[in-house]
This record gives sequence, structure tokens and C-alpha cells, in this order.
Amino acid sequence: MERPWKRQNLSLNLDEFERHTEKITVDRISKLPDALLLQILSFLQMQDVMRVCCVSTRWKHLWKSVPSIDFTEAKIRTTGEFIRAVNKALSNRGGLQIREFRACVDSDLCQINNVDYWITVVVSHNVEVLYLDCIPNRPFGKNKDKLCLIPQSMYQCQYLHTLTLKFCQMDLPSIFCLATLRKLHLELVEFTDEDLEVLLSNCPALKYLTLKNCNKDTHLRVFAKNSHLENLNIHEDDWNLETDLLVSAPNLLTLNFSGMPKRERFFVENLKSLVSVNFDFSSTYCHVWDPEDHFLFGQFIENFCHVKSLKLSNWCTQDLSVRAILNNGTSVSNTINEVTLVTRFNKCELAGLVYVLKNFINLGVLILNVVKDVETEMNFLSLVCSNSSGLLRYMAFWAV
Amino acid sequence: MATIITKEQQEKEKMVTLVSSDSEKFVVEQKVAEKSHVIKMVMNCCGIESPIPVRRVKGDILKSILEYCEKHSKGEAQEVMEKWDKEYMDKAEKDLVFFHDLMLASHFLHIQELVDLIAVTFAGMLKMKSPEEIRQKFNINNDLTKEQEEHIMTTFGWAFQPI
Repeated sequence: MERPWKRQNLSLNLDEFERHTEKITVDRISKLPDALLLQILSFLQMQDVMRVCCVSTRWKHLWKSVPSIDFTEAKIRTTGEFIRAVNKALSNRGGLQIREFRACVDSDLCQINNVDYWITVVVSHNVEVLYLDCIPNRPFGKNKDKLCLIPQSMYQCQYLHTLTLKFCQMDLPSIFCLATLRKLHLELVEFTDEDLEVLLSNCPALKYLTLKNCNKDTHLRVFAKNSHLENLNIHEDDWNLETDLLVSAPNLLTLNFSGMPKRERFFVENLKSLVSVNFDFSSTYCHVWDPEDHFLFGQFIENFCHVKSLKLSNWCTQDLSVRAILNNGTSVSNTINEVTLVTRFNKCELAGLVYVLKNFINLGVLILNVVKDVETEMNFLSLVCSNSSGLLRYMAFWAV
Repeated sequence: MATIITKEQQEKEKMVTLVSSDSEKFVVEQKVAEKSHVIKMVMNCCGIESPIPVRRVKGDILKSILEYCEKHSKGEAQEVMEKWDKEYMDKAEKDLVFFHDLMLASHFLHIQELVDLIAVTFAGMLKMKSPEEIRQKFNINNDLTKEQEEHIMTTFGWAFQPI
């Protein structure tokens, strides 16, 4: 009875022995089937794919079938060479799908015809993920008329899932439908209010929209009445001045603001599904504490009384302080259950903390992201104990 | 007494036995085994009463795969999972052969998440390396002729500039 067991054990050890010797002498990766090798290559930039395909005959032809073509980090010295490299990668594909296409194009040199051609090719190969970054190397604004115009063929794409466009111009056709698009990321793109509304209503599956530094000189109005948009991120840096920001999206669940609140006015309307709102305005720009600025923003925050979860950066916590002082304790009814605050516990923010604890009657969870001034911890704890009524859980993250 | 037996039976019903190519037996929860699309289909048509043979996969590989499936059937926070995945893959650097087998097996069992995870790890190893470094790392024998190699180098010269 003992022998078979022993034999089995022996064979197992022999197996391990083989494996150890194989590790030094045998090439196993080349024995993987094409499908798996292509899967590995699809996570690489194009220059890495080329280098890998130069190791042996087994790998030599694989670059022609890689489903994802990524030129975002390609260090190519001349524009002509870059165009040839991309053209080469897109040629000889036969019927194979190009699942992803990513490229950073230097729009300075106006390669618009080539971009047209590339997009037409990848669209005809059923591209699902398209990433096009045309941000020029030099400072923006000097050469505005040289925005890269997105060709009409892109709007005919029936498989597009994720689309990222940077520093491009969108000239929407009169009839189009991006039926499968779920994620849209636009950076430094200029459009009229109608254009954005038309775009959103023609993307019935769109769930995530990111607008980064769009419409920097004109109003930014997001009307998403006919769309199922669920997640909206708006990031704006410190330009722009006398314009409005408006968001109107009945199906929106999450709304994130980041960057700098430099628009003259903020409006929201028709956000009845909204669950979570995040004001991640950076404080690094806000060295000067301007009460007038804060008061305007305070009125804006009042529009979000019906949400469940609220996140505020410390700039916004200061804003709550201003509210607390000006309103002198009168509260606005709200349903906010979870609040995340970034705080330094300085004197400008403490009044805001007290305001949250006293007036947010449905508050169940308070998460504090402490940036600095840890020595005031004890002050804060006594503050919590004396002012909170229904607080269930208190968490503090002590950042370095 | 009777109630205890039915309880045990109920619990047993949720478990399934998998047998590796070297006859090692693994008893796992049904939801763990379901992570493999292939095993899920077998369970759907043949039930889970009798042990399911996984003939192409050896015991140590199957053990590692089931470890992954078990962790990923718990539904933990994303950050926790990412950290765990990273630790799981840290072994790949040390034993490449094992991870080639693991990739083949997870491809065979149709566990797409694991195939992707291993592919990303391998891609990380191939990144920013010269062809010669890649050959050394994976013991690949260079069977290209001089002309072929030169042809590739000139056609895609931009990719071979110093990193």
C-alpha cells in the first residue's frame, strides 16, 4: 500500500527538479500560443512591441496582429519618421481588429491629413478605444487655428467604447450616433452649448464624461437632458474669468469638480438623481482668503442639499466657515449622510466643522482627511464631543 | 440529529471537488470554482456531485489558481485586491516557468482576469529592454539571420534608439 504513494511523491519531486533545470536552459515563453503572446504585447507601447518582435522568428510577425497600437510615449525625432512609423503599424492588418489606438500628435506641424487617414483606418478596423492627444509642446493659445479637426469618419464608428480627445476640434455631422460610447474624456476642446448637447444626446450609452479645461474663454454649459450620463468630472485650471458654468443632467449620480473655481458664476439645475458630489478645489492656488469669493461659492453649495454624500477640500471647508458665521446658525434642511472633509484644523476651518456637525442632521459618517497641524487634534476631539448629536462613526486619516 | 445531517448536506452541496492531472484533489466552494468559465459550464451540465477532472492542469498550478479564485470571489475593496494581486505576481519574477504554466492553465480554464493579470506582469518585464536583454531574461534563442535582423532594425529604426 505504501509504494504507489512513494512513487507519486518521487515523480512530484522529479517534476520540480525538471522545472528548476528548465528555468536555466529552456525558453518557455515562446511556446505560449499566439493569442497569449498578443495579449502580453497589447499592454506594451509600440516601440517595446518592435523590440520584442526582433528577438526571434517566433516573434517576428506578431507586431502585425497586436490588437492595441500605442504611440503615446514613442520618442521619434522627426515628424516624417513618426508618420511613417504609424502608417507602417496600421498597414498590413488585413481583417484583424485594431482594438485600441493611442497616439500623441504634434499639431504644430499640422499633420491633419495623416490624422484623418489614421482615424479612418482604425474606425474601419472596429476600434473600441481611441486616444488622441494633440496638445502642442509650446504654450497654448499662440496657434489656435491649428486645432486638430476630428474627421467625420470617427462619428460613424460603431464599436467605440472609450474616447479621449485632447486639443482637438469637433465638427459634429448633422446626423450621427455613437451607440456604444461609454466613456468620453475631452481636454482643451472648445464647443458651443448646442454642440455639447447634441453630442451628449447622440451618445445614448454614455456614462462617464470628463471635461478638462474646456471652453476656457466661453461659458461652459453641460445640458444632458436626453442622455443617461451618470458621472461627470469637471476640471479647470486657473484661467478664465467672466464666464458661467452650468450643469443640468437629470440622470447624473456623481459630480466631481476639481482644479480652480475661477468662473464668475456656477449654476446647477435638474440634478434630481444626484447621490454624491465632490468639490476638490485645490487650495494651492488660494493663498488669499477672500470672504467674498467664499460667499458666492457658499450659495452654490446650497444646491446640493438633496445628495447623500458630500466631499469638500479644505478651501471649501473654509467656505462653510464663512457660511456658518454669516448665517449665524440658521440651517438649511438636507439629506446629507456622509461627509468627507479635508482639513488643516486651522481657525478658518473650525467654524465650518462645527457647522457640519450641528446642521447636517442626517449625518451618519464623517471622514476627515487631516493635512497638517496635527497638534490641534485634542482641540478637535473635544469639539466633536461637545457638538455632535447623531454621529455614528468618526474616522480621521492622519496624513504625513 | 436529522436537522444536523441536512445542514451538513446543504453545506456539502455548495462544495465541489476538482482533480488535477496528477490526481490531487481540491475541495472548494462552488462560487470559487465558478470563476473559471469552463468549470462553470461543466458544473452547469454535469452537476457538482462527482469530482470534476481538470486533466490538463497539474496540482501545484491548480492550487495557485484556486488561491487566486478564492481571493477574488470574496468581493473585497479594490485597493486590497490590487495589493494582493501585486504580491501574488511578485513570485513571477522568481519562477518564470511556473508562471508560463499558470498563464496557459488560466487561459485553458478561461479565467480572463487572471490571464490579463499575468499578461500585464509579463509586459512589465519586457518593457524598456533591448532585444538582447529580453533574450537573456527568457532564454530565447536568436534564430534570425543577420539580414533579417538588419531588415527589422532599419525598417523600425526609431524603436531601437538608445533608451
